[in-house]
Amino acid sequence: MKKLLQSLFLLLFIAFHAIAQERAVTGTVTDKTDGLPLPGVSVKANGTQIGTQTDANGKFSLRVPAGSNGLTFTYIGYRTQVLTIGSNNVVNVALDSDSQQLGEIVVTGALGIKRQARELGYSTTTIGAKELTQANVTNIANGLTGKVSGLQVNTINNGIDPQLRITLRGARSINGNNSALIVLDGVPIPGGALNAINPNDIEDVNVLKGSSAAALYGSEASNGALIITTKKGTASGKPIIKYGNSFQVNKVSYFPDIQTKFGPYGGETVADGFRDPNTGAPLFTGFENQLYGPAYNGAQYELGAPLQNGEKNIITYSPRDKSPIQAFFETGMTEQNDLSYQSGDVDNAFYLSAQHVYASGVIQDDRNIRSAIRASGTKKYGMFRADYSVGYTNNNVSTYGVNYSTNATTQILFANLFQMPAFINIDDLKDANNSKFYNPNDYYSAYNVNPYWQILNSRINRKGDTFLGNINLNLKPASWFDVTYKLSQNFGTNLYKATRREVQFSAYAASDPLGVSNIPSRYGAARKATGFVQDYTQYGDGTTNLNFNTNQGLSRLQQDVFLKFNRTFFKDFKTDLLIGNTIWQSKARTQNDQSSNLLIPDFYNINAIAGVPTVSQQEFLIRQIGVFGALNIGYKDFAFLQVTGRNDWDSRLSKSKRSVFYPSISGSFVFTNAIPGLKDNKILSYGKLRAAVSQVGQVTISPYSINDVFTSSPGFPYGGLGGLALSTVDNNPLLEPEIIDEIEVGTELGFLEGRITAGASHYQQNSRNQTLSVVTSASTGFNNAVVNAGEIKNTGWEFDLTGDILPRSNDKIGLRLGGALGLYDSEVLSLIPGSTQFQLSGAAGGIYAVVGQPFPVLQGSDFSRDPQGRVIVNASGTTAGYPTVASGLKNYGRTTPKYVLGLNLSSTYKFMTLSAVAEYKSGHVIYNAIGSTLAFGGISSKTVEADRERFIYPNSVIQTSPGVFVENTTVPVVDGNYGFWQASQYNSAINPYVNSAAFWKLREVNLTFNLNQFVNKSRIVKGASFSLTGRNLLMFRPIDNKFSDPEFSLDISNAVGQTNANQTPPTRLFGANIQVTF
Amino acid sequence: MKKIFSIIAIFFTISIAGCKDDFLSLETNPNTPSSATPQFQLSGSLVVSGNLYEAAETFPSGAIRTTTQGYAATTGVWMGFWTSSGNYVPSSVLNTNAFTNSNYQIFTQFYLNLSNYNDLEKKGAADPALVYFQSIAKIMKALEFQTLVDTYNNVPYSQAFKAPEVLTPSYDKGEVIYDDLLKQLDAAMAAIKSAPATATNPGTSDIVFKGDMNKWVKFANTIKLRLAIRQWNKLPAKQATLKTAVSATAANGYIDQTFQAAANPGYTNDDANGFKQSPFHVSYAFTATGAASLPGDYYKANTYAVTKLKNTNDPRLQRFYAPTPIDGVTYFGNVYGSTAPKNNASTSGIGPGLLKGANMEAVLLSSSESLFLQSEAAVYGILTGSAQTLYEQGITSSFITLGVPSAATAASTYYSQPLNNVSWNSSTDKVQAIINQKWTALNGYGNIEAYNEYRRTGFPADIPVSTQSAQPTIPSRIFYPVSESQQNGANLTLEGTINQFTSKIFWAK
Repeated sequence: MKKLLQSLFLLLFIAFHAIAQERAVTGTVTDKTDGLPLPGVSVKANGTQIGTQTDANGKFSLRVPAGSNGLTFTYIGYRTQVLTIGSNNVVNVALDSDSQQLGEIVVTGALGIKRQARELGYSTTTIGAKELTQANVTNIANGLTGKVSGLQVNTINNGIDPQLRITLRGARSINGNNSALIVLDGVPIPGGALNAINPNDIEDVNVLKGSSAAALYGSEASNGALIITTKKGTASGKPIIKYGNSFQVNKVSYFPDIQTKFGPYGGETVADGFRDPNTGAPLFTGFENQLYGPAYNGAQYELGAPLQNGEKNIITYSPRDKSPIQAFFETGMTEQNDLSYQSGDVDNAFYLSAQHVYASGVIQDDRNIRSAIRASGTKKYGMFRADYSVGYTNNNVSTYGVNYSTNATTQILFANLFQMPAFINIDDLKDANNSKFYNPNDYYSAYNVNPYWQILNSRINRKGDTFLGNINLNLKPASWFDVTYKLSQNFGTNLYKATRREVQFSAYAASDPLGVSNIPSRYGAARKATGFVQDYTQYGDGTTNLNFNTNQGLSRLQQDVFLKFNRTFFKDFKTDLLIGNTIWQSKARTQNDQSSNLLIPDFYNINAIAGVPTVSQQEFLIRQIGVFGALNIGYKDFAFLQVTGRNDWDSRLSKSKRSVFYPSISGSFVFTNAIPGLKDNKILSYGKLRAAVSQVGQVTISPYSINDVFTSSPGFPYGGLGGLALSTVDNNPLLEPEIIDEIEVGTELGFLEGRITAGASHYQQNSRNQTLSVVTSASTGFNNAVVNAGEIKNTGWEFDLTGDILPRSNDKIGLRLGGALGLYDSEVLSLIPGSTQFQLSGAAGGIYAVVGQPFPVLQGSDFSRDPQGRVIVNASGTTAGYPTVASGLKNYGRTTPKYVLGLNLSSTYKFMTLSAVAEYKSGHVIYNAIGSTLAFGGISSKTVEADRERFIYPNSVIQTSPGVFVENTTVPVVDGNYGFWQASQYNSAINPYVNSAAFWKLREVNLTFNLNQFVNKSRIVKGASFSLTGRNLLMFRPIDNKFSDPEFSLDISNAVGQTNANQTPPTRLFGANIQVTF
Repeated sequence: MKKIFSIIAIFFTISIAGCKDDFLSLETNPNTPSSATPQFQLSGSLVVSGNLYEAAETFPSGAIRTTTQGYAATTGVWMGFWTSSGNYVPSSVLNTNAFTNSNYQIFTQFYLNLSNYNDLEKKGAADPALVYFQSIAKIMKALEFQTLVDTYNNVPYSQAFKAPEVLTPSYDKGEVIYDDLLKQLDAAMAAIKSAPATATNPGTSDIVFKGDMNKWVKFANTIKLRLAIRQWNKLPAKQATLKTAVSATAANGYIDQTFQAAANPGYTNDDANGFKQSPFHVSYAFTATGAASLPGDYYKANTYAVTKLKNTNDPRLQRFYAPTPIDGVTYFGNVYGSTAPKNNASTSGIGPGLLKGANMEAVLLSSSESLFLQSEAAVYGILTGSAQTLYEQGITSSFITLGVPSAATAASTYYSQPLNNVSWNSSTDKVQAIINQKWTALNGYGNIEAYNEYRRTGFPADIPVSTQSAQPTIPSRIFYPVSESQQNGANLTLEGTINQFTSKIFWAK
């Protein structure tokens, strides 16, 4: 302690001394290769503690004491330069990037602990702020897509507020959590809160791909982690103010392939007058929602039923230039305004930012408005350091709800829309409440609802408030010891209100004037489609999600304490030891009240209803205590070893199973430093080998899953009579966490002084103790039983290559190319004893784990086929020429990509920078259930391939006697229209709608003009840039995928691999962005 | 150095300060109860039983599901009562009978409900005061296991309800299960009759007989008779044993014209989403909000039943079916499997005799069914008594239940017509007459039982098959559910290949 005081005194003395004799030195630091200014370079007066950092324009100003004769410039990734300043008061420096320092890049790892890259025994990728936000993304996940090998982002659609699922290295858990842990400033946050973070506040995101890297998180480590570090302010001494504005438009880029040749008819009979009595050809059937009618011929037809006053809606039976389906979608737009302020000096830093994002969707009235504010800072005082960071985000989303149709499948907007004949003028439909022919009473389709009715009268408004805050206190009383205390609180509230307007049908409409059971006639004597009100409130992470599988929806309060010791033994053995303790608790509380019995039309409050509201309330609490330790030993600058251990106690597990220990060991060897002959080699300038072994876990069960419960029996209570039934899930008190054993090896290489860097990783993960809520035979007494069983093996190769093909030099042209290739494979080794397949829960019913197969795979129905695989069609009868559906399930293959290739390019010329990110994925399949919906509606282009004429089913055979099949050249389908495409078993098998999910996407393109040199003269404006950005500009799919974006999924469960008609089509975004620095 | 140690000590104190002993003990679910009284469990289970027999379809939990393709509704189509609407795209599965192991399933629903009765039976075994609950549980188990055997033949029984120890229960032979059910019913009847005065009466939690345990005995005895009759013809060697068994408890009496086994917890339509209504009503009429229920919109009159009722001048025509909306007078049914069925405006729907209102009771076993059973037993000499009287009481009971005006007189007029299978005396085959009349009486509420009896006896002999059926016979059974092949595959494999046209239940003709 004496020593410490002494040095403190010394420091004060020097400072005092300096004030007396200092002089001011200014200058600019630039990049030697491209000449651009480097912000944040640390500048230090030699032999003193005096220092500063360069500002956004690479400029610095430092008061140098007379005793100091030089300056040291250090910057991550660049060669440190030491300059003698002599009598010069202006010092301009060009720093040279240095691959030998690849290993010295500082990486933020688990618990927010920074380490040098060369010490790491596992694979990580860091994405900096610039790369993350280059395409003006509004959420972090989109900014990461395609840039990190092993990272996959699944989105449910391109709607205004889509849910996301982020996984690293595929899926390890069949039924549980596969989502990466999201860590903000060292502390895990709820997954749903990711959307609440302003991407412009991010300093960098370090992706810990494997479980070894995340091992210190113990029972939350199995899925890797995104370590997000927020900006903390500058130490340059001068405030920096930045303003950014970006504007993007959003257009639907790919529609399912539709026909515009045939109008409505839906299987009505000759007897009822809907078919030509002589030819049997279908006639125009103006009230139908299926398009199996006559070809468009320009005739004048009466659409729907006449109005009560006899007036008729006469349409011209020919397609419009733009199909009503395409015309329905609008151009969405996103406007972002960003303002940030940062300031600070060596001991203080402060950062404040505000963001407003206004986004309108491709569907009328869809809105998503986000306002975010964030403040963070650092204060150092002697041996004490404090950091804090608080963010508040307000999110307002408004989108459409369900309509009043009695048919659940056409309550969804797109199912109605994708049945609209091509002669409809969409503008006529827009005034859905009052328009003469398209109001609920007089809408032409007997079975559908005007999509604009739904938009206008059925709304879902969601308001989310999210608070993310943490403080970090550090005390360093000695050079060999420091202690850190962290407290973080992340929570949000979500208010969700869904309302639907009541429809009172006219007596005329309800009388079903055409006698076809139209929707109004289905509402009984009251002729009323009831209104609806739903209030849903959730305390959690500020979203509506409550998903224990993706760790979304819960608040999180966490406290960490850790102590770090470091000491060098025998001169060359640098060791540091960390021990610590974490306690966290997660909470959620939900309340739902709803009723479809409004007392007063258009008044939506649960207080004003008739009858009994449907009410439910739930609350969840999870707690965990962990103690952990990590020991790092480094020998010289080339051999490093890390050993970690963590023990967790988790409240979701029963007392006897609660305590679990998770160890890991990893090491790295920098052979270019170790072997004298390789030192300072110009060709191979950096080389590292690494290996890691870890055993981590994942408590992947919902709280309260260990004891059996009773649930209210359906319909109860009846008056005062209550009724309970055993829960259909057999809970299991002996549940344990899923255990993942990972072994990972890899190498990192730098060539030609770092102009080319290459990395390779290979890993194998064995995930056992799968927590399977297995669907059991109900004869066990339960429909599901939660058991630990089954094992999955994941293996993968990841290769990264980056090259400065043209290092920017005096000719001002620079070109950098990068590529990341991932090869992923998995195999289900076992499932519950006695069973070979397991169907995943989630919206997509056909997704399975099958022993001996990759995980997950799509299984579903197929046509009956002969031994050669040709489709067997019926030889005669009313179904002649039609295929039949075989019993049993066909395995169509994996639904997650096997090959992932990401390419990125960055090219500079003078003050312009062009960057682009493209991605290729393949080796997997997708089931586009929308295909079946489109076939039902008679609108898919497939249904007109034979022009609705009779045709011979391609490559089909006929069974002439049992086991004997002859090629079918003679039996065409009985009916090439409605009979085949809609009513035959052709439309019951999933086969026609399963296709390769491969694609190439041009994910991001960005052209930036750095305008710094044009504003240099200005005193107020210090920097400016203008950029043009585009996202998802191009997508190439196999020719048989005419449906949607193969990256869409029905939900964010593990059951990926299916889409249906309920998803907003893929969109393309492009826009411009201006940034000004003051 | 000392100071550093004290800093370490302080931080560790802070770090564990929040941890009390029970800090991690959060096992108790705050959202749903962890225990249930036998009363709550009984009423909860009986309501589900009502749903299972009377709703068009149920969710696995037993909650009513207003979708098509339920077993109860589909058997109604197979039995010629109903057929699908011309308003909808025809279901190729329904028309071709090319159904799969995912169609028409009741396996999960029945077992999950049975699991509750099993639990209740165990609770009763542990506490003598709960003997009534235990006995009711046994009786309901017998009722529902009979339906399972009648639907799937061999099913898990002795190894059932043993989770988590047994997650893949083996299958027992249908006949073996029947034999045990007979014993269980005897035990239940004996236990009720010898119950101590201190036994807790289930009271209002018994939503079937309101705690009238004597009626439970008669209900049990009726199920017992049905188990015996079902195997009577197929297993002549067993007839003596069956007769002895039935005679032993014949004195307990049976369900008769004075009461039937039907659940009613106080069905009502005052809720917002309609699922407090009687299961048959919510399935086939309107939801509480007035919207048409899908199955009611989908299942319309079958020309076979309409014609048959017309041809026998049966006034129940106007009770089973509604007149066509288009004229309000005529009764019309489509041909099952027709490629051009008439739409709903021109077709009869389900009639007012069945759709009595949201608060109507859910029938588990009707008076007329019991009377016809007794009549058949009298024909075989298992029971004493006049087969003809019981037969005519069965018809009258059906007329009364359906609300035919002046029911007794109308029934008498009807069964006095000198028509084969109508009047007792004019009928050449008495059993055929009984089953034909039972078929008529089971229309709507008893579709599944009508299908059972058809497969047992082949009556009514002229029920038409779908014109598009893959094979020209009414299906002989449904498949085991896909869940069994996935979750209990090894045991299911032992049952061999099931064919929906040729595989038979052990008692089937």
